[in-house]
Amino acid sequence: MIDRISLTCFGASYAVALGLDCLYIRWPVRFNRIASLGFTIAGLCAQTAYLAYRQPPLVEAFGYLLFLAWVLAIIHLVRVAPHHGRSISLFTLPLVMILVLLAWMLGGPAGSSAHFLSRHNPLVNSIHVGSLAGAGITLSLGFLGSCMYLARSWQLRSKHVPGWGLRLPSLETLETAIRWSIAFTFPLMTAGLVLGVGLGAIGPVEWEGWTNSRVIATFILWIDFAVLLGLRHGLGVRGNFLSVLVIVAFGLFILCAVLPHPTTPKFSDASLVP
Amino acid sequence: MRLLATSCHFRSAPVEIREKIGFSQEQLPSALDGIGRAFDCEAVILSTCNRVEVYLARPDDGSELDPLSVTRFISNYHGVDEAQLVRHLTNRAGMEAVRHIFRVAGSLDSLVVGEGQISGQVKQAYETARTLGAAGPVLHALFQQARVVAKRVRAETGISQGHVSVSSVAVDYVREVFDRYDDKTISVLGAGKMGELTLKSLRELSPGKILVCNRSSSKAQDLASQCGGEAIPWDRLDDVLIRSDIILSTTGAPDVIVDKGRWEKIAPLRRHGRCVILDIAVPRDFDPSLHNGDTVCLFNIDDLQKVREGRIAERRRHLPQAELLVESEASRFIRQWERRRNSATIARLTREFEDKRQAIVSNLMARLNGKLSEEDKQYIAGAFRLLQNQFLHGPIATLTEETGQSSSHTLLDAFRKLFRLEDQR
Repeated sequence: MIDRISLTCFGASYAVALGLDCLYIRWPVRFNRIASLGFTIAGLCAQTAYLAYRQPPLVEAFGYLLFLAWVLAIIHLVRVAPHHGRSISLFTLPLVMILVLLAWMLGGPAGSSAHFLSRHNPLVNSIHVGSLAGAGITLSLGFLGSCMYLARSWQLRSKHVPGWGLRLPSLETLETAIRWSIAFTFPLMTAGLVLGVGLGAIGPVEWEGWTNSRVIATFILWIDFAVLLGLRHGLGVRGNFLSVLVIVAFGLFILCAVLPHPTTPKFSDASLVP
Repeated sequence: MRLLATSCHFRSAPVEIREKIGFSQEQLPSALDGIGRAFDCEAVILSTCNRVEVYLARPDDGSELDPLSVTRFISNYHGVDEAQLVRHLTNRAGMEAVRHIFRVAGSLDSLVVGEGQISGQVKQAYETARTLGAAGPVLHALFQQARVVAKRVRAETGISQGHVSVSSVAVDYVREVFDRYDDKTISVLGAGKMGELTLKSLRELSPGKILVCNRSSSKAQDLASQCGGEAIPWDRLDDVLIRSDIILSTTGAPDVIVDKGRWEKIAPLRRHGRCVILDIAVPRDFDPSLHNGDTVCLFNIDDLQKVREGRIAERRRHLPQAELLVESEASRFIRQWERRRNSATIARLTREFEDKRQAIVSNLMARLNGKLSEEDKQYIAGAFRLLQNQFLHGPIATLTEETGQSSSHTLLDAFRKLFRLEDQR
């Protein structure tokens, strides 16, 4: 039974939950809310069973994206779903679905050199992966905050009627969330990247060079974040600008995750066996 | 139930009349006492700035209440010409009166539809009458139900959605930008009446500091002392703009005070990046191009009025639904009341027939004593019971079916006369 759970199962559950939340905005009937909660719980249970049974490696994009989606679904269920008056779920659930969709497009674990590396330096690799997973979570939250910030700012710019349409947190709350996200993501991501470079240098792998697409994207991402960290403390910086930069950073982060690893194994796993 | 509602409200009478016949809290005891003695009935007086209403009630057996006498009482009490007053009063009886109090309590009849104050005022009016011993069982049932209806209207329809005063709308906008206020500074430029009202609403957010800046230092001092703020001379306006997170501008200046150039000079010096400007002055004090929905959120009086009108229109959209609810509740209240009244009569009638049947059956059994088996006795007793039930079924069913109909009263009176229940009440 459990082996028949697929990405489609929980992806579809989240999609139905999102549809019901959209309906709730137009027709605030309690049933929509409860049914949405039910479908989210069902999706999360299915995803948990899938991850527990298949155990896709976190070092690869497939497992990493599914793990990120799983954490965000938990955050959605615990922190967002109980807030009936807010429309935050219209932002969190689509992100969860996009991550599941990306994983689905990857098709499954690719057996890359990252997986190979993880077997030879398990401790350092765990810290490397853990840091990047943490950075992924905090950056995802920053991304959600940024999207909501832009939506809220658009509402205010167009002088909409307060309380009508999307019900979002205040600009102040959202900006605080974005600034905290930047503060947490930067050190985690830097640590993850430094350890990744170190692993590549000392491990039994061939470095593909600085022109590798993933290396370039990661470099741009790091620069973007260094700029963000500087701007984070700037008082006069417009929140809209900060939000756009965080959204760009998140896009680069996901791109880095799905691009091929910049190393290739020098020898196969089998050759290490005495 | 004899119920009469005499009302004078903002649509039927100008304020000159309403203020003459309004009952102050001090006048209520004597007025309620006077009505009680004059009409020998229960009474509740609802007196607000928008309406003066007198509700009178008598139990079912009482005589009808005369609306003209009520008008005369009000005119004598306040010393107003009766002929002048009668044009502005509306009288409603029975079901009409029930529907009216439900509409009033549900805020369907208010100047601003859906405002929440009226249901509290209705409750207060009833409590006052009850404390003074003027309200009895009829008005108790009516006003309790009015509270229930008001709650249902608010909960089940969108009639009370959102704030509709300009000052509340301003606060709603502020809440969309900030959610913490103890570290915020509110500045008031000018000292207009509208500004005072808005400042009152803003003060409910418990801001960290309030600054008052006015061309007249005495006015600034007055307002600052009223709101616990700090008065700042007008020549230090830039300093105020730098320190403020929320600016409320109500000056009577003929031109724009803060244009884009002036704002761009002070913007880099501001402690917090974000600022909400509520420019409710006419002509406007701030250049509208400052608004960007991010670092500067500027709302002028037209923006706030537009939201207010939008919300009122939205509330009005829910009026038909609320009217339906009131209508069904009013009908249900009348039906329940009449059922209560009819059930007493039906119970009395059934009990009388029961007594008579038992007397006849006992008499018959005594005469035929020794001639009947136990089975025969049971058969005869059952036959008499069946006869009684079949005989009473028609009248009782008709009376029950007529509950809530206009003919119900007449039928009940006829019922009492036919079965001679009148003298035993």
